[in-house]
Amino acid sequence: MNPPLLSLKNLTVTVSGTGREKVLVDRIALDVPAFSITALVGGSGSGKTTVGLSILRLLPLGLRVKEGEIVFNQEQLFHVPPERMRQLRGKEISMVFQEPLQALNPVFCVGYQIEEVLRCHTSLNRRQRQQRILELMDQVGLPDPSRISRSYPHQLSGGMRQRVMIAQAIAGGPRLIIADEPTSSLDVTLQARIMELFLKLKEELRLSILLITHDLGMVARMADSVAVMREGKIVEAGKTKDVLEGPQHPYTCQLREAMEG
Amino acid sequence: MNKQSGHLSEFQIAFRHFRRNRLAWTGVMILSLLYGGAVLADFLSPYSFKDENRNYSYAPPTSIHFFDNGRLAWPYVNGMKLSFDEYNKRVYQRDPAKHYPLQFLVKGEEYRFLGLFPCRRHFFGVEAPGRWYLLGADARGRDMFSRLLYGGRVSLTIGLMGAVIAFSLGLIIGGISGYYGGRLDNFLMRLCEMFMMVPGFYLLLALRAAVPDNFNSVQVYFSIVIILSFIGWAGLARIVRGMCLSLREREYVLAAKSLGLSDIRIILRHILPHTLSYSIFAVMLSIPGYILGESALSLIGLGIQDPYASWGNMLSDAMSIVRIKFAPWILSPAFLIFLTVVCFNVIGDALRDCLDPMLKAEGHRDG
Repeated sequence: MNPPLLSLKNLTVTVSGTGREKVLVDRIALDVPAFSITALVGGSGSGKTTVGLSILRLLPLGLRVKEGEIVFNQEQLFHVPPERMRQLRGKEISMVFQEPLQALNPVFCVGYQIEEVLRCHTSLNRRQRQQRILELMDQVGLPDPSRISRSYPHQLSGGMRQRVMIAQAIAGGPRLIIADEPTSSLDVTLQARIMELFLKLKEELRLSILLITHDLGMVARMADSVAVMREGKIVEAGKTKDVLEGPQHPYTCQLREAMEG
Repeated sequence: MNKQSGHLSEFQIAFRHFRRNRLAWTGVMILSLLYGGAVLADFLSPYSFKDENRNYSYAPPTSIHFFDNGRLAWPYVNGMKLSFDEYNKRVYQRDPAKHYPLQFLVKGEEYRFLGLFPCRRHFFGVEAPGRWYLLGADARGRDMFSRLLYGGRVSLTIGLMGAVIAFSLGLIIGGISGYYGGRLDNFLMRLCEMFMMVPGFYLLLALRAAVPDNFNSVQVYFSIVIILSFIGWAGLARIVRGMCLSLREREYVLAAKSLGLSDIRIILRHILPHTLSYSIFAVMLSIPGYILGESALSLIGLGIQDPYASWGNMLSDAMSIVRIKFAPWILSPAFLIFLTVVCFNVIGDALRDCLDPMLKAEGHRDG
């Protein structure tokens, strides 16, 4: 069997506040195989976003990785120099955030913000970049790309903004996308459409997706495998079907009941 | 930007708001006149800044006559005769025998128009050997009006250049300090405090003393610009740093990092633009400080040297009360400095009003 694209081993993240340090992520292990969707499920505060950020080495001030390692494509992410890490972000691994309105800069039009990623990670010239922006926007299903590329984030609807963010995330041609609750801020019909988009992009671009969510329904429809997190620990993991049909841990049962209820 | 959807950018809204402020708009008009005068100084001034005539020391403003022997005539000036009264004070008397009509585009000293092509025509004046002084003459018989125009070149641009340099330094240092934080931030902020701690004027003098005194006027000009901006950046840097500390926690900065943008790009493109509305009016309000700084240096003889004119060194003539009593027109540069400073302050205040986010709602209604 091929080695997984991304592999987290014994990852522990702590926050050093006043006095003793608190463990946010407790010795978790997780594999994301190539060309698959792996879901990381858990309630608020279970540490799932922290896991996502530590993969990109973008933990907020005060949080640090105490031990463990992350291997991406045979590279030890905690050992690569900062400059290499910057290249990896966006070009190999990129992230889609929960609140597109906050994750897009309000003072630039969205086309420019997609262009910035191309400028950093490709050697296209100005005209080729413009061409590529339109292609990307078309690929994520934005209507009338040439007009929307000149709009500002506040002029777009929530779904469109999320599509712009996805266009940004795939612009560098990454192999892994970390999707951090990509649909939580959208209404239900849009959620389904965005998830379809992710599935489509996964096939077209041969992506792997680490889906961070609290919505088991979505996991059931999309993910190949799932890991359930609670209070910083992974309590149960396995193939989606196995976990959802025969949950072993009481917390998974609770989540499942919540989904059905 | 988005004409079809009818949206105005933030700055368009601010500009509309600004235009409604009559006082500030007047300030803009006055400043454009002053700057225009400085740019076209060689054309608009009847004489060169160093064209001296000792026979006309402290000559009063020449009166312009419209009637010749009781009949209406083309405006003209008479020659002046210099004599001394019983206290050896200079008395200038009108000499009706000499009659010089005022002329437009009169021939005078050669100069390069806008620094490009040679030209001899001056906007208005009288033919040599006649001499006239719109605003009187200084100690060496040089025309105050011409010197004011030339002096504006120094005094008005030094403020802008100083402000632009201090502005860029302040933004970049503040941005780096706020974005990276930690030890670098600590170091840069202590550096700022070092500059802010020393009273400005003494720092100005000390720095000026460190510059060789055999510099020519261009070198002196640039050393003054550099000295002034050296003092001015610290205040802005501190405030920008504070704003960056909060801006760097925004999610779009995290998103930009997660997409692999470089730190410099994030600072320049995603953080600093959000501090612009504050820094623009901060800079506008700081320009008078630079103008006054230059004037103060030149006033005490450390700035621009005679025969080159700046409003400050023209004023050094006016340091004696006796001269002001007999030739009050030598105070005219002070009036222009005052006018410029007031204009910049009024504009700065108006800019603050229309860029202040608290007033945004009102701005939208106006737009």
